[in-house]
Amino acid sequence: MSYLDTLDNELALAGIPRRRRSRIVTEFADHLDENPGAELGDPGPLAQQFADELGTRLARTSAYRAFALLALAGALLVVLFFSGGRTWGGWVGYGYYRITAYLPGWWVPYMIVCFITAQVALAAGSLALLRAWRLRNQPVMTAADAVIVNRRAALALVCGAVTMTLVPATHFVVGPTPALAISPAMTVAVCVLVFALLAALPSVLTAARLRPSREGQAGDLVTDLGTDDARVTPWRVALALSVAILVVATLLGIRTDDTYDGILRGLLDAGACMIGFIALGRYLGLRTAS
Amino acid sequence: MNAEELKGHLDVLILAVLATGPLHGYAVIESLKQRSGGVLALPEGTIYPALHRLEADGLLASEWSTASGRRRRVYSLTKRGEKDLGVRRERWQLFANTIEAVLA
Repeated sequence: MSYLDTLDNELALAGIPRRRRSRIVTEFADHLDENPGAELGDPGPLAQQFADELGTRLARTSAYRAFALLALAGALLVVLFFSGGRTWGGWVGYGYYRITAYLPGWWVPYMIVCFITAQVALAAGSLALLRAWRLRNQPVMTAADAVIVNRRAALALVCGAVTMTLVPATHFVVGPTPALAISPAMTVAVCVLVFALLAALPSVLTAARLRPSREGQAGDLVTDLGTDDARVTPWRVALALSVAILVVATLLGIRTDDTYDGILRGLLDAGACMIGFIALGRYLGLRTAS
Repeated sequence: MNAEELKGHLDVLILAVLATGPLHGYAVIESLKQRSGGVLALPEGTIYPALHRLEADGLLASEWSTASGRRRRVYSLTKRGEKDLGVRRERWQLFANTIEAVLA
């Protein structure tokens, strides 16, 4: 087997995509044509070097892209809700108009799914960005870090796409409600964004295949926050966040003269935050097994 | 100079070599050898992951060309690469001057 064939095999084993592999082999072939005696190095470590460096960059880029797309999705949802809210002049769901008042009973589980996917997308996307940003100066991240970044980015994109599909679908299946009145332009924007979110997934999958070989621990939520304070633990951070959510929701309820509703929503949101932390904490690298 | 010593400075050296004009991988290595009087020698294959990495970072651009019937990838510095090289040059100058002052 020739050097180039061995290199091609090693690149494939390291998870380098076919197109990139073909380019690398062509470059090496050109090099050997220029100097047949060139010492290009052992194909195995070379292939791993490509995987390490490209895998690190791709994981980081995927996380940045996922967050940017989710930020756009979030902005679009806000515009969507506010354009609907214009008709009654209040924040969606607070005050006199509750979205459930306009939806049939069987629609409730659907809305719960929307609620969960939106929260998971926001959390996973922000955490992917946080970890990628923290490792921005590392030429090669550890395999464990790469797994966490890719998982977070993938989950954020999938949940973002599901949310962006389900929320506007309410308009078309149930009909316009005061909180969801979608213009044709908004429909096009939502479709484009869903397509963009799904189109970003393959690069995350490619990054997942290009797992760097560097060993090391991925850490947890405290690692993401970059604090050395021993009092800060993942559980305490999750709890503090849940309490903050409860307080904000309650204050919003008080502001719209519906304290009970605010507290109820706050408890729901805070509970969802803790459940999400328990359910996805280990998968997303927020907490370790211990 | 051994490959490990060189590794930390490889990016800036590649950028500096490509500042003179677009080159393919083999020519980058030859230029490095030539400009350093043969002192900067490293396993030749290691230049390619670095070229791909710098391109992924947006510091280099590349395109296919044909030479003697062979396809080859030619790399050139992007605007961002030029800026980055300027920053790295300044940093290196400061570092070299400081070390020089201490060693003198």
